[in-house]
Amino acid sequence: MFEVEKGLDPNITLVCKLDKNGIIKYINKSYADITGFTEKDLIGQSHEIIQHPKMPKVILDRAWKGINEGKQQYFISKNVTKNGEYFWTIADIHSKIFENRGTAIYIRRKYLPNDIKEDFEKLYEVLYGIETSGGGEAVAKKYLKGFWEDRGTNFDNYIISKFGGVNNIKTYMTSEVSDKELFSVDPTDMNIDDILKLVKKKKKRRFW
Amino acid sequence: MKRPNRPTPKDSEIQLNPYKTIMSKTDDKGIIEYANDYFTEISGYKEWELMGQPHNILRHPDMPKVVFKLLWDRLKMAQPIYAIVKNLAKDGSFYWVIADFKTKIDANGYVTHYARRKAVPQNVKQKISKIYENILEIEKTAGLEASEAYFNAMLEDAGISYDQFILNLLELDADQLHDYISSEISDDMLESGGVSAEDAIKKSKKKKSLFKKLFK
Repeated sequence: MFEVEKGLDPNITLVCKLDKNGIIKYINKSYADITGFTEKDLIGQSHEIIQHPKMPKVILDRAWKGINEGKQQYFISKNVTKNGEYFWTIADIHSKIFENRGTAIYIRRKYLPNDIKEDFEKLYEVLYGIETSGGGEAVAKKYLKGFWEDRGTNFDNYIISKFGGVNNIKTYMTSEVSDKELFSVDPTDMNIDDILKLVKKKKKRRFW
Repeated sequence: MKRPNRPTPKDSEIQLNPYKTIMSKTDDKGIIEYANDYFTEISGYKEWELMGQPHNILRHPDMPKVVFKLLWDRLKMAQPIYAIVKNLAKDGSFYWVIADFKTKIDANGYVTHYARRKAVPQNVKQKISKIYENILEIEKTAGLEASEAYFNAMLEDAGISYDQFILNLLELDADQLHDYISSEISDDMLESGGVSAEDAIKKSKKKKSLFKKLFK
């Protein structure tokens, strides 16, 4: 299981929108194409369905911390498809906190360049090892802190510098799906039926 | 988590690259929080085996306890110290390091000890081995107090402090030793400075004369 890597076209963008509990409310066509799951499979399901089982907890916790603070962040993850393949992505995660309606999470994923992938493959393997075979999550968290200290940087800055600056990474992430498009549907406003209707409507309009 | 068994020592030495630095961070009890790649490479332990473990899993039985007592007496007072130490790798091999320790206490009172370790020149290893051998013998027969008294008397006879004793062994002055220890990982970098690894390596290459002096 999850032995074969699925190649990703750097031009495509996987978009999903989640509610505050990580329940999928919306996915775009590329998301369905790459993961092999249909809207019916995914909408209403926990986003963990495409998460590789060896993603370190400390990395996921960091992402949720940022989401709960309403911060924009970059996120690198190992994901899985319905067929049991895996693929790495770089994501930018945006969360908006709406009064009375909770948090809406917008995630845009793209192909992760190879040299960055190698670094993170190793780091995540180490963190997962510490969490499951070694001293546990608290120890992994300290290791991660030391890892960035040792490199004189932090998670976001490391990724940004690998892309050669803030503008480059922004251009890459928004090359297909602009911010405007990403935020166009507010998933917290809609129930699942509405979203499915919208997805069908968009199909008719040849939106994709 | 199971504590790994202390390996059985064997008579094989791992030689360190003098340009590289073994770095680690521990808490106030010597529990490892972070170890860099060179640390895991040389010690032979995987990250998951090291993190959260007491640093003394690397302790070699040839090392007198009094050296670590001296070390911890200083660290508890947040004072810097150098030590020449024979370490035990996972496969039972040994490797010598000259270590420097710095203590940082954050706003919440959380204590972190940063350690940098570098290669020890061959002639220094020979000299210190003999000294440690003598101290260890006293320690084994008469206990830690006796070995401490012996070590202190030895320094007193020579009319030098412990720090000067280390410098004399290495035939360096304090600045030179600091230059050597910080040649790859500067003081700023140790506590997350902005210097990139590439810059630091470039800098260390400039210090060739110092390396030549140490490793002819």
